[in-house]
Amino acid sequence: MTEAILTASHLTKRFVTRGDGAFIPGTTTFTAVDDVSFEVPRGGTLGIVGESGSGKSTTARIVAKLIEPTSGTLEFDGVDVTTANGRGLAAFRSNVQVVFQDPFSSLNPRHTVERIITAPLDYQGISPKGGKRALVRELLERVGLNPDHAQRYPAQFSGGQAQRIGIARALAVSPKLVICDEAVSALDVSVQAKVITLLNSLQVELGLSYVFIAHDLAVVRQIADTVAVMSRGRIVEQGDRDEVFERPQHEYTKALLAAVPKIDPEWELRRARMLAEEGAGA
Amino acid sequence: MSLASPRTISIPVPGSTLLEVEHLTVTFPTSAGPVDVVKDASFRVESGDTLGIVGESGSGKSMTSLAIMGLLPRGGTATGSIRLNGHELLGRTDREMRRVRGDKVAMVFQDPLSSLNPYYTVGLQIEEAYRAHNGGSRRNARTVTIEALERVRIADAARRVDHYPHQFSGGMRQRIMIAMALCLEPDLLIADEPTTALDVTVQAQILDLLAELQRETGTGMIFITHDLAVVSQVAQDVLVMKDGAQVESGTAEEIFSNPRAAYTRALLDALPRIDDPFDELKGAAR
Amino acid sequence: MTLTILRRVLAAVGVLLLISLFTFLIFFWLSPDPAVQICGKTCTPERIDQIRTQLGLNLPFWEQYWQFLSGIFTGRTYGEGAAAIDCAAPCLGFSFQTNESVTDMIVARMPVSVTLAIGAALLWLLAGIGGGLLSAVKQGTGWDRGVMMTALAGISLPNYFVALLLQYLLVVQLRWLPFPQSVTFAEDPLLWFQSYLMPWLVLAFGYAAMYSRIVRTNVIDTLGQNFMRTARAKGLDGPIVLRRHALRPSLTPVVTLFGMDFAGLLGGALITETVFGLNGVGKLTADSIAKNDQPVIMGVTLLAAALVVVANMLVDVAYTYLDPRVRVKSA
Repeated sequence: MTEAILTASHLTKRFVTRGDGAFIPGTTTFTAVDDVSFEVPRGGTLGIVGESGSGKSTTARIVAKLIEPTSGTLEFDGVDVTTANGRGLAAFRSNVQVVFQDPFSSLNPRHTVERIITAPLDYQGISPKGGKRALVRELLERVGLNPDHAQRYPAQFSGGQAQRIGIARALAVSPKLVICDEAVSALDVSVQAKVITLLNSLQVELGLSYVFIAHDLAVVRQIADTVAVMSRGRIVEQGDRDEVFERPQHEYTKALLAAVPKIDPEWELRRARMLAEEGAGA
Repeated sequence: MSLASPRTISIPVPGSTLLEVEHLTVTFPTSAGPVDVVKDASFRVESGDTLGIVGESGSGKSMTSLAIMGLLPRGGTATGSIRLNGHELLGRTDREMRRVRGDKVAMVFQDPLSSLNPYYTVGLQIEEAYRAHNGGSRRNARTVTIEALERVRIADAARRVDHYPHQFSGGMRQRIMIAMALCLEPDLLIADEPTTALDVTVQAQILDLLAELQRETGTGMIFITHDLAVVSQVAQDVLVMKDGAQVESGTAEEIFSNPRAAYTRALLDALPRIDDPFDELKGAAR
Repeated sequence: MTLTILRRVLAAVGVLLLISLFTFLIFFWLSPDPAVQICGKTCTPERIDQIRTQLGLNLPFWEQYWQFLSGIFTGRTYGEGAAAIDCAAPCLGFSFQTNESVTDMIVARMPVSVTLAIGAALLWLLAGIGGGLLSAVKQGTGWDRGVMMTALAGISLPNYFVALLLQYLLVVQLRWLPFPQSVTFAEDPLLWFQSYLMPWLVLAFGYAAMYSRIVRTNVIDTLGQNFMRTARAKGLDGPIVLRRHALRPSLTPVVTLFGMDFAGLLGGALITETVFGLNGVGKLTADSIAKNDQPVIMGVTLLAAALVVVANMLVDVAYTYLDPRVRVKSA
């Protein structure tokens, strides 16, 4: 495994709410992320898996520097970015981008696709060589969309297409790391597969690193090189994808894997055979 | 095939299947002309068996179930034939259908939090369902309700019956919905994406629960979902839908080991798995 | 729970203090010198100064404010010696034009305003909720359009216009009702009722219009909720479904609104009372503004503000009991 592009050490996030106790003012502290440490392989994908309440989304937000951890450090590309602000933060943002779960609420419905994709460029003050319009066309093509649709609005696209717009936007500033927060969870299965394929090929083409957050183990398996399993704010198991999936150590991981519904392997085998026969006969 | 009066609708026609749907078409008027959201669907469900209806968004699978219940949104019309225990359901008045709904055909929806009224206790919501069809005193209904909650394994049911929906977790809320559906002992249970909004471990529990309850009561079930893997585990027969049309149907074994339609094959190929040798998606890119 | 209520009460008190300060400040800056007014035509600078001292107007601002504030709780005395005027607690001020304590003036006129408020409230709740429900259930039909058009009229037409129009139609032209007169219920119940009927209708019309629109939106919204679909799927009767499942979620927000509106009305319906010649707090306010009787205006303003703040607080607390999601903590 090559050196890590992002290292998180002992991240903890506590949310404090002022209580409404009967007679005693109770402040409740909710620990969403509890002492979480991991590395994101350079040019590879770290998959973070967990059920609801596991803290994976909060972790993603901390890594994206959308919220601040209560304690712990974050190191990107060798630089400590835990308390980065001003120019340091700007540099971080041009290197780390996010793709969100619901494209229709994360894309401004009143902006054209072109405006959406160029927004990060404007915020960062980046002027691409060859002009913005050309870059937008190039990005749209890269994510498999028709470049002539740059003047359309998000509502005119399907879910899968809108998510591709979100990916194009993330790529606009040529980041090194992309955080995918349940990026395919809201999509139909067939569309999911295509978007994952796109993400994988982009990774190879552009040398991107990903942090891929999901609740669906099967989906994570399609894209991750290393996997971290979270439960109640903690990472209960971490390691190479195949290791975690084939030789899970922790009880929770085992339970999670066991709970995933599977198609009868006997049936799968028969289908594979049938397809092979057809292929041979064709 | 007689248009029997509401009272006799309770008595199954001897020799009939639990549910028989033939050439069901559901149409909605739009500004661009009428659109068929369900096109010529035909299938049957036997008592004690589960039919899985699989499809992506826009496939018409939910509309099919709403048509059976007579709960189509405003403007929708259904043609064809829907026979429950031999009695035709299409064309009945809303009054007649009210006797069927809940009592003969019950439904469990996708999001249990929004499907329960937040202003009333769960006990009240189950009791009212029971009393609407069976009458009787509140005390009796309450006893039945507590029993129903115990059957779906809600701990401390006698106390929790007076709790509000938001005081339960997602999985427990779905159990409550199931309890509410089954306390009336319907002949047919329609579950529309019942586990989609739940965590995978909770999903497994709910699926087990449904299977067990079905075995106990002999209820027929229609299980609607977009998740092929789930369908393979719960259904004996499978119906695949796309854009309102019936693409393929057969037993689960047939569909999964020998899918004939291109769409079904594409769906099966696209399905991510946690333990298979077909590492096409990742492998191709690498 | 108790702590929340306590917090709300404290916040309300804080707001009230701020309002009293603000009100006092405005009148302090903007009003013409009351001493001059009282003095009248035959005035000398010495006389003005004498009155000013008597009224305490030569004191620094904060002392004046403090006198005013403490007067509310302990009563106060204007001036000294033989010419001193006693204003019993709660002293909201003293009108030198009418020679009465403001509190007394308000109290004398409260019953009228309260009667007006209650009667109108009953009417508007009935019409507003009923109309809104009807519109929502019969969405898109002639009923819906009819109710909404009427509501539009109710919102757009000015109060006084409706009042005058109604009087013209019912009293002058059709002679169905006599001109409203000042009688108590005890004296002549029928005349009492006839006198209040038009003001009630005028007030109710405006509020009912607003409420019917809000109720309509809320009910339509609620009807589209998933739990309504569940209720129907259970085989429940149409009217039951509506009554039991749709009303509570739709009306709970209306309760909060009602609390505020009603409290506002208790502070007096200025225009309606004036047009119909009802001797309520609203008319008192209108008259005082015309006469520029500063203490009265200030007293009434403070009272009206206080009513709304208290109502707001009560309604806030009530809401926590009405909505189970707020009342009981989640799992």
